[in-house]
Amino acid sequence: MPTTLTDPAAPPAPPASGWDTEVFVLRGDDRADLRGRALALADRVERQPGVTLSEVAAGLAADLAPGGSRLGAVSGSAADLAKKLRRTADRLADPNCKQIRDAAGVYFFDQPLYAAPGSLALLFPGEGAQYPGMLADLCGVFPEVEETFAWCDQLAAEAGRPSLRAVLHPAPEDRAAAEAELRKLGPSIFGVLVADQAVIRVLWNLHLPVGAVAGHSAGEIAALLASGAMGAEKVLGPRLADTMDLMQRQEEQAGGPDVTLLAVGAGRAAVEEVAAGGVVVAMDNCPHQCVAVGPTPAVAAVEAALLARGLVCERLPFRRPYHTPLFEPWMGPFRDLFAPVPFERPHTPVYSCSTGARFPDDPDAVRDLAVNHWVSPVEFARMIETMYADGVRLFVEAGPRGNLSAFVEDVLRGRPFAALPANVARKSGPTQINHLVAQLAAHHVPLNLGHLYAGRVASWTAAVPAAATEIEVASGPPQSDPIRAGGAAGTAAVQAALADHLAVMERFLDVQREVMTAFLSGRAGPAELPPELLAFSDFDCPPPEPLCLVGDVVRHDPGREIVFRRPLDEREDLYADDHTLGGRGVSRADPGQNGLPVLPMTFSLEAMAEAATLLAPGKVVTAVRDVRLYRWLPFDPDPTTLEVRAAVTAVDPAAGTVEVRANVRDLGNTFLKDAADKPACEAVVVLADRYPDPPDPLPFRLTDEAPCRSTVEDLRRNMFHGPLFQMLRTLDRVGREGIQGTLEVQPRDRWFRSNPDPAVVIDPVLVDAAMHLLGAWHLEQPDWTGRILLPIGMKALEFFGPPPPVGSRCVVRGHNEEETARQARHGLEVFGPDGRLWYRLTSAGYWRFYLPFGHVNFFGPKDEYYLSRRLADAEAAVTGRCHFLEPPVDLTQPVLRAAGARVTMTPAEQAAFNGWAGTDAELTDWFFGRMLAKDAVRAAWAARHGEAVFPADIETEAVNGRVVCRPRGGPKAEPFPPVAVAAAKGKVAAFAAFADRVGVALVPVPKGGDEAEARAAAAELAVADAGGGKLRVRTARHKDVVVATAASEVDP
Amino acid sequence: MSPDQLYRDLSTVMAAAFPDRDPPEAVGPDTRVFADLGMASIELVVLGERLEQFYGRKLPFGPFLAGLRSRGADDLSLGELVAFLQQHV
Repeated sequence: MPTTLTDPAAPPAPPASGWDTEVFVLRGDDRADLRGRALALADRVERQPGVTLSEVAAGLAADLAPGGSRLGAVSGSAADLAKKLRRTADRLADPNCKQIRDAAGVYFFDQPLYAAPGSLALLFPGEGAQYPGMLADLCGVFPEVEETFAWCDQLAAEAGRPSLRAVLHPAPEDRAAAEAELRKLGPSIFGVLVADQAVIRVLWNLHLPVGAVAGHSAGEIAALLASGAMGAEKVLGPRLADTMDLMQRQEEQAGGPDVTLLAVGAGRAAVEEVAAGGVVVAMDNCPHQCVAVGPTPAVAAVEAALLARGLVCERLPFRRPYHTPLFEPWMGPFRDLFAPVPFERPHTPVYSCSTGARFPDDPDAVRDLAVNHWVSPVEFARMIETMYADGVRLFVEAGPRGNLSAFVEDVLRGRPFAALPANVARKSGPTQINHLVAQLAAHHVPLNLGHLYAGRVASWTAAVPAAATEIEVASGPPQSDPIRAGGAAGTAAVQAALADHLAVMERFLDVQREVMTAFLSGRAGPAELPPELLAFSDFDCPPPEPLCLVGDVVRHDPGREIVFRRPLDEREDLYADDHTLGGRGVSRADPGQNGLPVLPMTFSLEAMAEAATLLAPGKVVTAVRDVRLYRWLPFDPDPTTLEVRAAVTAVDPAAGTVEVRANVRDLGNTFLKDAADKPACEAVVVLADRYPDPPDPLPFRLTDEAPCRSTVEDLRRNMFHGPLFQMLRTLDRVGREGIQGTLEVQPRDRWFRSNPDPAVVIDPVLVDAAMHLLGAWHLEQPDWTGRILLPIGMKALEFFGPPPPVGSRCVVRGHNEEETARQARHGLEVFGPDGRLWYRLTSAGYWRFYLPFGHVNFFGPKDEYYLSRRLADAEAAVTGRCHFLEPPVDLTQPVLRAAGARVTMTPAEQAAFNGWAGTDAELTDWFFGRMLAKDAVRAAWAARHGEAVFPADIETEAVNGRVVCRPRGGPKAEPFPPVAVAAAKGKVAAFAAFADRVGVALVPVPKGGDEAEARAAAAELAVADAGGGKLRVRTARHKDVVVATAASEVDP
Repeated sequence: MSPDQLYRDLSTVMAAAFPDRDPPEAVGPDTRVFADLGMASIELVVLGERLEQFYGRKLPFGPFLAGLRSRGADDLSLGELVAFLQQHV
């Protein structure tokens, strides 16, 4: 940690590497001089391409004098720097250019914003800013950052605890677990405080002149510490840590109210217009983001209303109702904590995110406001407005991620200001510091640039006179006078002010250290399972049967955590061939060709349940809750690796229950090369000594009740599941609120090639099959729009007994909980053969996909259906068929597009698809072009021969720039007809006819344009496409395009 | 509407929405909105709003962004944005 204040010691030897870019600050006496210097530097680095950039940057910093006209540039190579400088010189030559703010790293401001220390404020982020790996790459370049995190290690080692650093800077394989840990109350707040401390130490060493401070949510603690308002570290430190521990335990044990936090891409007014049922705006961050909080069902209604207005909404991955009255249950210990803290009058102005105004000077008033911030809405937008009105123009975000800077940008858009993050997740730490410095310098903020080079640039110490480093400091209110280094009476005042400033900062760091020390020393790790809960530890207990999805155990800390892996291999995982996205039986040439196999969501749940069972052997899984699905887990032609991670998060010895948070991912697949950091599914698994008694069934009164019109066969045709998953036996009755049917539990002997008797925890195939009844409810609805449903998450699956035995017939009831334009939410109950409730699913969310269901049964028989629609009016030949398609946006998503390819393409075409070397947009064009060609050809063929052809049984290839179709699997009675394909405005048309030559064209009709002209143009193009000559031509208007076809000969 | 026209529209809208930003020297379909243009996610929402005003119609930006998230995308290319606009403008 830093040692002295007035005479800072030389920092420890910094590492030799880690700076991926340098910052170049140029100064000219005026703009013309600056331009000349930029060009001169460009010449220099071009003449000396091997020049050491750090030496160049340090030399510029050494020569930097106050004032003038300034330019900041960030670059990692001589060539790039020269290019940027020359471009900048061109801009500077333009008198209309008032500023340059290029994200690539060039900054110039004709009207710099820094006027006095009061014009620069620090903003401290709170919970939500943390991310695994934050600032890790600054450890190698700033010794003070490394020291801060190393100190975490040291404290933890002394306390015999795992280090918080292991969570903040996890190994790649631990990243998801770290993310989960970082969402918890204690680690999230203290993690950000550590990062804030590391950043502020860098800013301190840069001698940033701070005139005011403020914090967002938990960041207000850092702001109060920095302002000197909370100086009672001896009281606060240890007790804050205790309090956080207590609150964490409260949260883990009680769970808190069932609330949801919803981030909305709009301001407060948009939410308040539709808010009902206790939903309130907890954070008003900026005009385009606020956070709504309320009971989950009410938030769901608000979310639906906002989505219907086209607004962006996202549920946040934690459930603490911060900044609302609902947080009151957590507040007791927090109020106790602050009661004895002697608050002080802040030495630096600090703003309150509760009132949007400056904190009062009265210590008791400061305390009340600070404590009640947790149950008061965050008024960040209002606070920024106040700070701006008070003269703040430069907002430096002293913490990780950069969220607050984006909020400030949105609040003050259109006015002169700058919001500058010290760290963002998308740039390397050193590079973002360079961007920060470049902008500050360009705004004429005086800085100690030498800190960037000390210890690594040999010439720095010798070359730089002390006066060359600008110093301007402030610890007083914004209206205090600036003190400039190099001024007439500067030196003594500067030294005094610097000492004062550094003393303030050091005190802040001391308080931070106290708090962190207490937290890290006393922080409880995940509770170890009490011995009495570890039934498996009894030597008399027979070894458990190997569970079917458990593979190689990578790590196992019994009672705490486990990580295991297994291959995802179509050859072994036979169930995958019965769970194929896109459909089944899509080729006569190869009856085994199916859609894209994807891991059923229920197998992810089974894998997590198995992991939890290994952590709490002898217990049974009674519930899986808070299930969230993030992405598909596809089976690739070659095996991929499935990884399951699980950790115990709560133990209740009295009740005998254990909670395990788990997630599932693959470590890469065709669509996502490196998926190690991206869980596909996560959930909390609850275990107990025995299953709970079944509760009463849910009410099941059906409005407009009627017998189901659809049959089980109808349902099977409309789902992508094969025989293994087809357990439903009857569809009985249906009404507005739900549907009832029966299923029969099927054998498990064909799930795996090498395991005919798999041991399961929840029976994933049965759980999946039961949900098919919900599909039947949708099939019964008159409007099929948006009836392609894929699951996205579920609130809870509760089990009241072991899976029913094979052969059991079970009544199943599906409940329709909620339906919106984009989502459907259902519940489900399955009753065992004894009539008692065995399993209840609550609030299963499904995403609705809008594919043209009426024209193409996406999952149904592919020889009878067409993705495209016929345009008979545009057909120039009796034997011809013209088809048209505007590809549905959902089908352009990579996984659904790949599923489409699996069910419509031959093996050779799939090889071309999978090995595509062009852009993603080109692949979409290629895919839909070929699909349209097939649709036109098979439609023409069916009309002439009465034979339905699968798209996957037509081989297409490009010959002389045209698509040619040939039969797959041997010749037919005659060749397929020639086909022509055209595309425009994202739409595709194809025309095939039994003629010598065919052509097609697609011409947009401009708004208010002449349709006749478009028809003439289309006709001309279609004739040209067919090669000219004597042709029959027809045109037809469809929506905003004209489609024309041409054929040389008609052969009815 | 042709991709070239959409790129021109996009350039116009972005310049009006974020007048104090300078685009990188080379911008194309592979230019990333976050990494290359330095935009924040909130600014993407702003951009969506401005595009709706420019074209005078609602655009399904919410589902589009949700789709990006659901497939694990960590950035958005201008090419993807233009493809989205081609679908809906």
